[in-house]
Amino acid sequence: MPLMPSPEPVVITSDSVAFCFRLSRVIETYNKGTLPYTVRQLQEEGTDLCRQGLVRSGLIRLRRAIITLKGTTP
Amino acid sequence: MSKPATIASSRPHSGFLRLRSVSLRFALVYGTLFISSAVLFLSFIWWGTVGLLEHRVEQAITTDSRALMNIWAEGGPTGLSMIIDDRLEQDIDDNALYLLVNKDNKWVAGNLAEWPQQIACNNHWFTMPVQRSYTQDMAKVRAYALPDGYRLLIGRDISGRTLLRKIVTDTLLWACLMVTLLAIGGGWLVRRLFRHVIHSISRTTQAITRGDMSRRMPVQGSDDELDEIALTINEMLERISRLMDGVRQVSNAIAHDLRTPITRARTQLEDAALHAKNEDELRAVIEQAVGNLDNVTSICEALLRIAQIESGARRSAFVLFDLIPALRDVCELYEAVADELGLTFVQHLPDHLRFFGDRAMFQQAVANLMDNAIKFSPPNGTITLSAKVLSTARRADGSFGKQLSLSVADEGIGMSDADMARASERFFRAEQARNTPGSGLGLALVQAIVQLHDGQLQLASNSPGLIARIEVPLPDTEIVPLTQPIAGIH
Amino acid sequence: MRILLVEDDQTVRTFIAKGLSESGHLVEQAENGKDGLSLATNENFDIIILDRMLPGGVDGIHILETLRRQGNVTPVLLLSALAEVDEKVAGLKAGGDDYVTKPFSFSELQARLEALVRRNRNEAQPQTRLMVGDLEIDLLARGVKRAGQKIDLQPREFRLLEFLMRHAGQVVTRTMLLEGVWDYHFDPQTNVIDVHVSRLRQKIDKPFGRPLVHTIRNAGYMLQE
Repeated sequence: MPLMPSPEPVVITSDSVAFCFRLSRVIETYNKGTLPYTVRQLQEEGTDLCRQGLVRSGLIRLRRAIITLKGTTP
Repeated sequence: MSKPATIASSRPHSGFLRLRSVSLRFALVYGTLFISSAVLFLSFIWWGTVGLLEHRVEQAITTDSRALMNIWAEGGPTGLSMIIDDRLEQDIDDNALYLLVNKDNKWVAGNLAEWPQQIACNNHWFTMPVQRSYTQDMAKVRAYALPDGYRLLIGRDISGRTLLRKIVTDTLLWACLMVTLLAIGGGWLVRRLFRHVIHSISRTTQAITRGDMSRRMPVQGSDDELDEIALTINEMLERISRLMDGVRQVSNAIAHDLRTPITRARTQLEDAALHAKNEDELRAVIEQAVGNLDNVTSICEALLRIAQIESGARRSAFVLFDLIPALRDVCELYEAVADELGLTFVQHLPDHLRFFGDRAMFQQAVANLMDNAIKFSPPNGTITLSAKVLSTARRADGSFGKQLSLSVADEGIGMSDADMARASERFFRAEQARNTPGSGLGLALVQAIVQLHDGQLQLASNSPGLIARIEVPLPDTEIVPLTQPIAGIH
Repeated sequence: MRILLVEDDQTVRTFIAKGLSESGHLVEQAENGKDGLSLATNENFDIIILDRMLPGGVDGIHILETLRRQGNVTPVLLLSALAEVDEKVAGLKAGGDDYVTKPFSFSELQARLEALVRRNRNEAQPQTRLMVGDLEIDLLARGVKRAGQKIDLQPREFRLLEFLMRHAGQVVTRTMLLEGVWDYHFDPQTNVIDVHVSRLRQKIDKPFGRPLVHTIRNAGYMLQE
């Protein structure tokens, strides 16, 4: 694994509040508002955390919500 | 032993880091062995954890790349973009990195802002920094070329692994440090222990070199190897000092016993040279002097003979023969003497006795015992010679088997217990025997002959008198018939 | 007698030569093995006295073996400082006729020399009967008579007398008796030989008044008329 001498770090775009909102929208549009309680809970917590600046913790909750949704609805 | 001081000072036992010190070498070997085994063990752990994790990451990326290639084949850029979005949405570990660009290097899908400059070639592993919201992490990435000039970058954020790797590496480094310290400490301890043992041995041996034969190795009583060495050395020292005592006694005795007749002869000759009045007187004195010198010769001869017998060279002359005629010959020789002196001579001998040994020497041993018995017998005393076979007796070497027990008993002045213990030493003569003629070598010669035949000589009290008993192992099997007694050397 | 003496020690050589010359013998001397060997092979002697160990590479045993290989049967008496039985055996095996250990007394040497020469002369005709004065023994019947009177002897006494008779007129030492009669090769500390000789005297001398067995001071015994 060759390591480049003076690499400019590439920005990861998924680490942003914007991505939070995108995930949140994905959840909203998934089943037209009839979300299970746990999913809604996770979504709200995640969005709140993102708003407060804790983007990565918020993202984890939102992603868990999405996985839960995909797992429960075939 | 003449210059003990120089011997001692030429061996300094201080000097902390002498490379020629065995104890230091031991310690170094111990430390090296300890450290190398620890390093081996720790590197195994390192490869088992960090190495495995890196491998896993590479595997995950490769698997991912194959899946995405298939999707490209089915759905083209749009399908792939959707899947990438999907993946990113569900990336619970929050470590996946994707970037799909078109031929103009423009972003199509993924969570990286732009194509990293340094990733110029495809299908190679790269480790590069990535900017997260607050931190800068490391990522492992690989680029894949797609049709129509599209390119795909798949990667994983390995900051978690980097952290683990750091922890493991740190742990290993600390462990190495501890191991090194332990090795040094252990080595030092080993060296100290070793030096302790070696020094106690060398102190004792040095003391002995200086002439202090009373020193002995300390024995801890723990029954271990060190005690075993100490005991062995002590036993050796015991034997050496006994031998030295023996040599000292013998040389003193030789000096004394040879000086006496030599002094006498010298005095007689000198006296005659100065004072003899006629030839007859001179002749008489010279004859006496010659007699004294003959005495010196016979002492020397006896000493040489003992030495020769003790060397064991005569065993080559051993033959099988019937002992009884040989014994009767000796008896016949001495019977007349006993008769002359008014002594009663009794024999208890079996008819035949098969014996393996040196006939002439064994006869001499018995003759010496007879000489002694006759010399110390009182008038009208009885001398008894008896020989019997003990069928299963414990022999001198500890084995069991047939054994000859031959004894010569007299009713003379006997010996005290202390004298009996020393009687077979060269030149030993009991106080009461000081004035009887003899070299003081008779029993020593008997002892040497008996030992040559693997037997032992015992002295016991006959109250009154002395019993000298020779116990010698007999040949076990009756292979050779006894019709023809085999003669020794004539 | 013509005697060859091969001995490297000058003191010992002079001592022996002087003693033998005084007894009326003709002594030829050699101080090393080479000279000794050439004398022994080129001239005739009645007896050869040979030191076991000689300087100059040619030792006594070597001379002896060379002589015997050449068929020379002159009696040889070996002299040696080596007293061990094995050494004696080696010397006799090489063809020596007798062996005397150093230091020795002159009388011992002389007695043995005479015994050797006598034996050499007697060996020609084996005798069955020996006589000294009025004493006679029959070797076949093992009978002893003195002045016609029969004397009973023990077997060993007979052998002792026989030995003395065979060496009649010569000095016989105690060591020679011990070796010749008892076959012993060591010196007993007690005077065993004297006792046996005195017993023999009781039987063959005492009843007849005139002694035949004489004690020779510092040497041994001699049977003589």
